[in-house]
Amino acid sequence: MTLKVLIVDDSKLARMAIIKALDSVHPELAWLEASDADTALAVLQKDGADIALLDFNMPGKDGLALAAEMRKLVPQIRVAVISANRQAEVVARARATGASFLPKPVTAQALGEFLDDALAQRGTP
Amino acid sequence: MNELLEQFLLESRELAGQATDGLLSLERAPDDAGLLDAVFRALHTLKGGAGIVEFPAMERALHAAEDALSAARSGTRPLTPQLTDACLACLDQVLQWLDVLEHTGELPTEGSGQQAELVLARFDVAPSHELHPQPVTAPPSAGQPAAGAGILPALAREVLQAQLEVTRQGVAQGYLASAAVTASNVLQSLGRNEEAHKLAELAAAEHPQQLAAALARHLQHLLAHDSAELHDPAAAAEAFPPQHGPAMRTLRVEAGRIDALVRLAGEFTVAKNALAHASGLASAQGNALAPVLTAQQAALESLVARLQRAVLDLRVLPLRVVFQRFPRLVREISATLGKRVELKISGGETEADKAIVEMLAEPLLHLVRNALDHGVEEPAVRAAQGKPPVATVRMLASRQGDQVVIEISDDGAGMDSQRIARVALERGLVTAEALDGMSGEEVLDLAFAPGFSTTEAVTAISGRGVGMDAVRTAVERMGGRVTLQSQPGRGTTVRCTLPFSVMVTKVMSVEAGGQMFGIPLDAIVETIRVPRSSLGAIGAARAIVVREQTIPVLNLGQMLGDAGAARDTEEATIVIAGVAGQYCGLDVDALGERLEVMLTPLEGLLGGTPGVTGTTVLGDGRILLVLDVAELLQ
Repeated sequence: MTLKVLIVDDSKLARMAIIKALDSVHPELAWLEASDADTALAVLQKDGADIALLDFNMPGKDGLALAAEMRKLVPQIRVAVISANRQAEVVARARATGASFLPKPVTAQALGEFLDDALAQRGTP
Repeated sequence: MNELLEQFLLESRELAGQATDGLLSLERAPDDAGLLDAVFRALHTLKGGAGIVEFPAMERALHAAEDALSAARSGTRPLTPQLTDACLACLDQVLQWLDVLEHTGELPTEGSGQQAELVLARFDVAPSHELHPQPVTAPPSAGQPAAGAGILPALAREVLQAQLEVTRQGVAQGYLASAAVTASNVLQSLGRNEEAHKLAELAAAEHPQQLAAALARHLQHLLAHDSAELHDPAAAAEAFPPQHGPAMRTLRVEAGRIDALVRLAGEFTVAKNALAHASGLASAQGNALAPVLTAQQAALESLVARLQRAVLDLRVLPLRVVFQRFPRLVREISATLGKRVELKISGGETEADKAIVEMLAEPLLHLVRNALDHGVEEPAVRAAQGKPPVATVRMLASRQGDQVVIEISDDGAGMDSQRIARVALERGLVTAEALDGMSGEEVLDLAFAPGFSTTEAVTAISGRGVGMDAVRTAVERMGGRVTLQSQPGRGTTVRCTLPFSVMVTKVMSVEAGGQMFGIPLDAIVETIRVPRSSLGAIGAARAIVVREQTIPVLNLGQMLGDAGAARDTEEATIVIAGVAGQYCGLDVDALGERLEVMLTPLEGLLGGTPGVTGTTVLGDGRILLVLDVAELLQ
């Protein structure tokens, strides 16, 4: 069964960039998009996802809050929070909720590393 | 431009717009946490976008603005007017960069580093030397700017100014060459390498006098551009990034392609008319196929009409495109004038043809400037009259039938019709007698007359008050009208009515001197048939009395250069046409029918022909010249 990556960011440009990076490192993965937390949760419930890439800085619910809610819905989902703020505080909070942290702009390499790790943890080669 | 850049362009424009609106709203509600948050996020996302497409200059510029908002959000540092100005300047620069991207298809690289530095300087941030695109070759000490002092431009200016002085002193070639080299080095240290090279070449190439002149020219140019600070009000109004075209659409289509489609639709009209003509001939000749032809032609007629409407619809833009620059403008100008003004815009979603929307930019600018300069009173005056301290200027657009109405109104001093009458009399624009017979509105209308100006002092803001004349000309050229209403002490409203679409015009065709002409139906008052003898002669000209008004009669064929057109028939067919209160009778040979035509504007050699707006081809293949009545009347 194809694994799905859910990409959440209110900027379409940012989503496009992530999709481009995703295609270059793990083209076998399917992806879904959402532009805000509510839509993301709806998509998660309807279509499910194995991995989520969340922008931290979004109007309404931010990426960290969304990460927490996603884990409630789908406990085994692997989440990475993406932010330009490399502040220790944000990184720490991300780790505390069991999410990884990816700096913005997302590079193919960083994304590749995160995904390799996430996939390995699921037991998928 | 690849997909990513296109999305970047689209998104960044929107975000910059949101951030600007947010900043302006924040000025009225500085403690609104939601607004602070929204503006911060817009700037943050903008910066993120710049990172994605790899545009470091934009990232740096926005970082400063983002920091300022972040500090305001956390309460560390309030958002002062100065900081707001700096953020707005940053966004202006971003918009300029986006314009370059849109036009060249590539990210602006040349000079963007230095432009970012200029933005940063406004935030009291020391410039960084990492940004210079090429390593700096060791310049002579005179050209070296003080490192990290944040006064980069000022010192550079001094040095460049000094070199300019050298050119004025009639010195020898050697000194001039050296001055050029010094100036070149200054530019190079600022990262402006292209300009630096130009100057360096100058040093090598020219004879002393030419060198002095060329160098002086270059330096003056550099220094003049450098001083266009946004705090200079006249420059403020001019320094706005020109509107290069809309980015409001999700589908980006080159304007040229739409124009080609419009022309094609026009040709369909011609073909359709030709078919109608042929069908008519067939009926007249009793051809068996006539009924079939007629039926098919009717079906085609309706399809072509729908196609035309759909094509013209492609060219419509929301008026918001031209309105959106005004909140900033009003803010800057009212600050300079020391007046408090709020601009209220509504109906921005109203659409009109692209040509109209673009044309409106300048007239609206004149009208808004007038309202701010002459309409809105000083705060003390307003207070004395019990008016609210913040004046309101409204910009309103609405669609009425197949017309678009745009109004600019203010709650200021209104126009003094007595003063207008007096000035018009003084300037010889009207006679005392004519004035007596005028209604209040007609007197106000005198403000539109060429050569009229009620400003005793010429201000840099409004220019010489020739704005009203230019406004009327521009609007009428598009087939529209401008009117004024005003109440002394209460305010003024200027109303522009324009056709929704410029390309389709209703005309009445007439024949004169063997040529077919179209007269816009809008301009026609009536057509009459009179005995030729009733045309009185006034010197070499002819005139006719209609309802006790004497109007000149012009023989159309003769007027447009057909010498053999003076027909001596017993009866004359006169089309009475007029624009803005001026009338004339056009003596024609025969009246044709009413037509709806899509005009092809005159281009090339014929472009300057006075009196003709455009041409179209009739069903029988003849060319119809559509007349510009306003121009004919002059």
